[in-house]
Amino acid sequence: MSTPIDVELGREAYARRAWREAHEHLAIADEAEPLTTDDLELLATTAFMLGRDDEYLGVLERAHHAHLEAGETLPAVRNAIWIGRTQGVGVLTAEEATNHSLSGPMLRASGVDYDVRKDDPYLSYPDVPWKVVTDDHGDVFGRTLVRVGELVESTNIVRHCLENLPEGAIRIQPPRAAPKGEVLSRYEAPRGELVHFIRTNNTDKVERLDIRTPTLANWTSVAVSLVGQHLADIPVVVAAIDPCLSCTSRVTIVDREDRETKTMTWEELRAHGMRFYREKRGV
Amino acid sequence: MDVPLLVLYVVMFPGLLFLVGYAFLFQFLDRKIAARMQSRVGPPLIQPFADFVKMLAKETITPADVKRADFDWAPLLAFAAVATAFLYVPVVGPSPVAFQGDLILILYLLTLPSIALFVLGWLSRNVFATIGGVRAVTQLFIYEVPFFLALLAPAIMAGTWSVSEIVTWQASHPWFAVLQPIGFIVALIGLQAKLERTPFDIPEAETEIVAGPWTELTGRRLALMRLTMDVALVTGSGLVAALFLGGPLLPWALEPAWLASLAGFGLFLAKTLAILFVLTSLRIAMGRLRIDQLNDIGWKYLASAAILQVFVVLAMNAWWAP
Repeated sequence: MSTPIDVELGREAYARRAWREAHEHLAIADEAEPLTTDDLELLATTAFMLGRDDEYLGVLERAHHAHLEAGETLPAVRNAIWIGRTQGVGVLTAEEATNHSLSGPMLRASGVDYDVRKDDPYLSYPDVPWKVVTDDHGDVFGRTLVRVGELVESTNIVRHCLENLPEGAIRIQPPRAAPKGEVLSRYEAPRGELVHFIRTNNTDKVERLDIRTPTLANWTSVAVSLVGQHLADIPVVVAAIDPCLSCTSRVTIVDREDRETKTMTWEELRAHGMRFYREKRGV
Repeated sequence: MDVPLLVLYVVMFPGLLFLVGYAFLFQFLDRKIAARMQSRVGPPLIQPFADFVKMLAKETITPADVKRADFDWAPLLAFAAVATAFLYVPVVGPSPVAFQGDLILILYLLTLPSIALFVLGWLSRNVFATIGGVRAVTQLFIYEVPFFLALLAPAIMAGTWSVSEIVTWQASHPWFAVLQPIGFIVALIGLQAKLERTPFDIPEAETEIVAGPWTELTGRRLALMRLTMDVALVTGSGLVAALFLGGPLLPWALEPAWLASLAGFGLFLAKTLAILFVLTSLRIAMGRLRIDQLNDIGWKYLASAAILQVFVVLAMNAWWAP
């Protein structure tokens, strides 16, 4: 029974910053009986200090999983100022989130269990075991928790897929021309639901392509979540959408009465914004 | 002190010339330590000086509808104030220009950069600069009370209003950092807030209001204002080192006199650099607070702690005369 002694010796050597010694003791202890999460982190650090990067990453990953199994608050978001700046900031209730057609982590952070990969599965998602990450905070803090949780889920999905890779050709030759038809596809992108509409006409050119990016869906929620917040919260709330500004660099205005549609480009929007603030706010 | 020696003291060492050089070194160390803490390489030693020269050479743009003169004198006034304040900080021994009450003069002069920033922000006719300037003054009202109270406590215990005499008092007594640990911590936090460094960089929060009052500063005005903040960092560190860490005086006498001066100068460097290290670590370890959160922390905890320290000092003076 050398385990407790080796753990003690390892911790003691770690405190002295004797990395090699600490690493040896902890590794022996780990072989005899798997270490606890805190000791795993020590082992990872010693491996890093000795320049063994592969071992460092492997052990750190084990420590991370052990943390998750223990159901501990994610260390990444355990910071007083971070919590102070994000908790209760930009709150959206589940009802507001659904009313503004939010999608992705924004929606799930308000406690709505909706994910295209589960609710309208595509590709191999039905075959992979994974769970939808939701949170009931509804604020920027909750959105962070959801995103960090999804990182872990995504890693697990990738690992599961690699382990269960089916037989078959890796590369296939696509047909030269797409057959005539229309497709509307929905994907769960990191920012939320991404919708593509494609119409093809038996050539190698696409006849019509429409994209609805998740940022566009999430943007409008700012009108609700910013009410009653401080000026200093604006960057926090806006950044929590994880906005893809190049996805929203144009606006299509549909006038139902005149039966007209008009698209404003990025340059026009920019000029419009400057003119608006100069005239209305005297900036 | 003779007049020529005094002129040398004011202009060369440890006056203006040394001060500017040391301020550049401080900026370099601040950036280098921060870079190493974030696993970056960091700037070379000459970088702060190179930045300064480069900015001096750049075009100076005055915003429309702003009086040039006002925009020119505000950074100059701020720089002159903090450079003057440094004369009263003991560097190689007690300051030769010291008088009863120079502590209050230093505190007053150290407040002027914040006022200059407010004036600049207000004059800029730019929303970001205006908000930044207003925030700078709001922050001033929050940290100034605990900071002043914390620096008041050593003066009460030593029974003098002169920084140099407080340093002399500490040569025969324990340091005030030991006698008044609460005041020391409050003073360090107050200094960080005074220098508008993270987590108190609220007036120049670049993610929210571009650069706050600095937004419309260009060319030599920007160079001078940056230098002012570095000089304020040196002056503030020197002040805290003098009031709480015993300044440049050794508890025992050294012979000959030049050796004592050299040892004092070494102590000054060591103590100010130690304070810089603490301030830089704070800056890197934290994110920015919101002004209302700073208000809560400042008035609820910092001011209460500083008042508590003053009461403890009064009680100690009454029952335990050191």
